[in-house]
Amino acid sequence: MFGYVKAYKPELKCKDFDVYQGVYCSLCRRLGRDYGLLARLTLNYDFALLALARLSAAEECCGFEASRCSFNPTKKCLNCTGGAEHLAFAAAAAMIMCYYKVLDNIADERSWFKRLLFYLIKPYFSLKRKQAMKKFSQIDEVIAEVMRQQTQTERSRTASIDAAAHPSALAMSRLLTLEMKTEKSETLERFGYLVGRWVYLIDALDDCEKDRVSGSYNVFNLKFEKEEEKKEYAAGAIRLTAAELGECFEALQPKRFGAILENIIQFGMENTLQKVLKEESK
Amino acid sequence: MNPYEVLGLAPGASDAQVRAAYKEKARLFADDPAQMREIDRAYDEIVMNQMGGGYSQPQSDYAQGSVSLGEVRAKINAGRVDEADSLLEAMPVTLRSAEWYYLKGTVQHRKGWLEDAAENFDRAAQMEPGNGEYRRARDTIRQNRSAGYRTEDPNKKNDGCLNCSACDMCSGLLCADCCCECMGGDLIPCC
Repeated sequence: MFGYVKAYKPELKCKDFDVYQGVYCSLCRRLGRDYGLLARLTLNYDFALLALARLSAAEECCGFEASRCSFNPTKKCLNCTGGAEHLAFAAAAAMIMCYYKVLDNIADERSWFKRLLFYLIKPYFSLKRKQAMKKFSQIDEVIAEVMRQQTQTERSRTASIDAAAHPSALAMSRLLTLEMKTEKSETLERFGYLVGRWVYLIDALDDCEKDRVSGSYNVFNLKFEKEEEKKEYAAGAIRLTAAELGECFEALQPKRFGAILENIIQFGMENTLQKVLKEESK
Repeated sequence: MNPYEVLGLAPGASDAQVRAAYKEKARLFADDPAQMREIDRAYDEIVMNQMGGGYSQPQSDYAQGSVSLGEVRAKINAGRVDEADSLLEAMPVTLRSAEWYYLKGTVQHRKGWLEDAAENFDRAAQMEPGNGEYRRARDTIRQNRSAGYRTEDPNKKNDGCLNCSACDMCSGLLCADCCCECMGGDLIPCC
């Protein structure tokens, strides 16, 4: 389910792109510092968005300084000087999410070989999760609860798109508002809810074909038989979510990074949707 | 279609039987809106016939319904969406008017349950096609569904006569002067 929420580079100003990448790099650094080198590999744009959104709503601005990437020393990148607690939060959320993702994969995977692989990496993520829980135990509570709900909805094989997307949406909403001190917490909550919903829906659309073959639960497969109808409907539901998210973003009026968030909602999401649609038709 | 047949009953079934049959069917078809509508309609019809077939009864029912719907509206406006939702859910299915579906849609929209909201807006607009409020809600959703999020182009915002620079004014004056000269007059004597 990872890496769908991305900015669309051609429409992004250079300065905004630098900042966007700066947040991404800072999160990568934070992951490395808190959880070790291997943890850096789990980095993806969804958690960069989590960090970005939290930083954008935070009271004080995180500054940036020029630095070098340790993976690619010839490349210069920006590094956040402030906002450490939000970056640490996003890093912890990423680690805990990965742990649950591994558990989920073990439960879902049919091929014994892949399952064995997941079993092998499980202790590593379990350790990292415990480290993350020391600082942010609420994240684990939230995600554990949401995962339980998710399993329940999947078992019930509901045909309602809203009910299916609810747990993921709730997860993002809670992750965005946990320990955030802002006067617009309700708008932020909705913002998170819609982001989570969007991610769930695009993931479901992306996995349509795979789930149809394996017979796993997929709300779009349940609702429609014909490929064309399914895609059209799913694209509509996804666009509708993005449009609502855009309106919510306007109401949010973030203190900074507005241009980046707007780019993600307006172009990035549509771009991802197009890519997924194209892949599906192959 | 005969409403009794829809519920699987013999004509002239008792009140309690009808209610039991309705509940049974509603549970069976909870996931199918088309079937649900059919069942609702059948139940409404039977209940209204039993009430004497007149229109006075449903009228007062509707009035009763709209009183508490006003309350629901107030709660929604105050941001107490969960309370509004439980009020709506407490209302019996037979009393659910177009406004009920509109308000239900609004509550779902606030909660981020966009697909259900779209469905309820659709239904409200269908039940009362003349109502602008329901239609607007439905059309906004439809448009967002097809177009996604688009911000307005800042270059297009000031289009039209509002866009008036010093250059535009000068050329306008020159034009007016030319016209006046054609007709034998003069607006700007120096040129």
